[in-house]
Amino acid sequence: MSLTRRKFLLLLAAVGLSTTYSFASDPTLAVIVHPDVEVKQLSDVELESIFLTERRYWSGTRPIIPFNLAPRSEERALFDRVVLRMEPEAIARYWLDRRVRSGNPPPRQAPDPMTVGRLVAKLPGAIGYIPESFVTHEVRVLARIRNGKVLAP
Amino acid sequence: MSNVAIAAWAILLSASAEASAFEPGVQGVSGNEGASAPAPSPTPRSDQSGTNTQGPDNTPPSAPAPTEAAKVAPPTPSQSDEIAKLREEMAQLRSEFETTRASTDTPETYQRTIEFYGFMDMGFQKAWLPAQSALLGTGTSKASTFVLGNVNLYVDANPTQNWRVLTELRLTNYPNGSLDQVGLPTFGQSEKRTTTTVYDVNSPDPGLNSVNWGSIVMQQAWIQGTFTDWLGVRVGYWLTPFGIWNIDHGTPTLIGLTPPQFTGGRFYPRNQLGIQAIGHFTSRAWTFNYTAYLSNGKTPGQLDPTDDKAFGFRLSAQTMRPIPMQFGLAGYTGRYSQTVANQAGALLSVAETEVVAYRQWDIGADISLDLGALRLRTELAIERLDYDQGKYEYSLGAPGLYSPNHLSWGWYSIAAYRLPWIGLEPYLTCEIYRFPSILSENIAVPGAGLNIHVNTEVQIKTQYTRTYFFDFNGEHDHSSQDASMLASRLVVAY
Repeated sequence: MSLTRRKFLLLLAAVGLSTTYSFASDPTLAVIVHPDVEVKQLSDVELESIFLTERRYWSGTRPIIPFNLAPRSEERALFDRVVLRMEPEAIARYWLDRRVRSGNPPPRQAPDPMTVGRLVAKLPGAIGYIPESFVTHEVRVLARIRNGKVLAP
Repeated sequence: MSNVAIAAWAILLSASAEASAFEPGVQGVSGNEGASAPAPSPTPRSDQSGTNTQGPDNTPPSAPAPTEAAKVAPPTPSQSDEIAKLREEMAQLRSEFETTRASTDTPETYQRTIEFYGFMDMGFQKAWLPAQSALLGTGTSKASTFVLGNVNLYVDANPTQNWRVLTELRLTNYPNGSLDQVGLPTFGQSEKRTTTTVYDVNSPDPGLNSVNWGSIVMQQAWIQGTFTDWLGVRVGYWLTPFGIWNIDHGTPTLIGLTPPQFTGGRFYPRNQLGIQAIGHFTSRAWTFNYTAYLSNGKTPGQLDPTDDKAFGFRLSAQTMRPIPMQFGLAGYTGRYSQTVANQAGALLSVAETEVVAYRQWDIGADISLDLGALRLRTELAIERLDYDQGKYEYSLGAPGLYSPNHLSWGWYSIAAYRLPWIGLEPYLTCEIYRFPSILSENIAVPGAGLNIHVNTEVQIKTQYTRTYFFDFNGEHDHSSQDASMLASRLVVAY
């Protein structure tokens, strides 16, 4: 890296900007729900509200059970970056602040996509996200996350 | 099931370090992580049902370079294959365990959790006070001193999806050494301090060891039932939902160290005992929250001595798009009454007399904005307080000087900017507080500080503030009370 480019990046960092993250090499994620969930599609804003546990019911009194992947996983970082628009450190900070304020607790964590797929298939009202290739016929896809965007299923 | 369960438990415990400290795992075990670099997922494989679950091309994680102290021979290809196979089996068992557990729970009971977490801060501070500062009457020290800040512990339980029970306790050394009354030589009264020093008679040393007992400050203790997104009920002892500071309230979350003058119970009560209705509605990217409550309001003791309850509300609109921001409005009104009980004639007949009584109205507004690395917080609170005729209270606790009816207000702003280097976040703050008293009509508190975010859980916070006492019309000079404070805290959330 030339000295000039390094200075430029430092300057960008100093003013709080950063170079744009490239999503080109990231896997496609599928947002999956239990087949009993009546909703047919979810927007990025709705997903954000569910995975920040602000929205906790599908409709009426039917609870939403969201599952996150572990913070170290690539898929979790990608999901947080696209849907919640936060980097891993920012999201960890977000939940810490939420705890001190006694806000709603975060979604439960599942250790791997396979477990998320199985839990979502088992629990009515459950929702999670997994790499597209993990999707089985036991769950329904409500959205896809590809190239840094939330797309219709 | 039992073999699977035992094996899975062993795996779950070994994997617990991967979970975030602030997010519950499916098994309720958490470790310490949150901001580390992402790691690849386990390689997918065909599950027992025969469904094809072939996953993406996950490249194996690159092995760290061995240190001089721990050079281990690299595994042979056959060993590597075996390790990979064992990992796959572990993932499979873990997955089966969770699935089995989920199948025995309802959606409501699956959410059952109990968590313990909290924060702690302690540090060092130095106050520069004038020789005859009124602040010395609070027991503040002019010397540089180490301080035990906050030791707060939360117990947070979700018996089911719809119910939550939360307790927040602050452990303190209070009231040992607290200054109850400054000396009044004119009236022949000496200084009064509380001591909690007692002989530790449980010690094998016969009575010569002493200990200072402390106390627990209840911050919150409530039960909450949530029935839909737009309606929930919270019953118990809760932080008054007023503005930003009173809810953020913990050093890991607050930007600054010095609380605004209008918090801490000087305007609205810091905590209240009562019932809240809470909920929210969403529209596009915005969430509109409401809280409305009935409570005992400010009370001199545990119970409300009057029948008219306090009432308050908070409304807020918040969004994460295009930037995180929140706008809030809050109100509170309540009647304070303090009675004394005296014997009335016959033995065991007691009569109450109201000696202090007033009604107060508080209104507040707040704005919170996160512009990238820049965090802005501002808050305004206004209070009207009217005493009942002849039922005034002492001004700042000084005997013989009574507080008049008054209109007070307080405002503060704080701007913090997170630099990209070693977690540095300098900030500027300014506060103006109008509270007519024998000290002055107004107080201004400009300040500057630096937060060092060592990591998500650990911060070093330092703040310098200068407090000016003044009147807007400049009739009187109150500068003899001006003071400064340098405070620093090491803050850890856990």
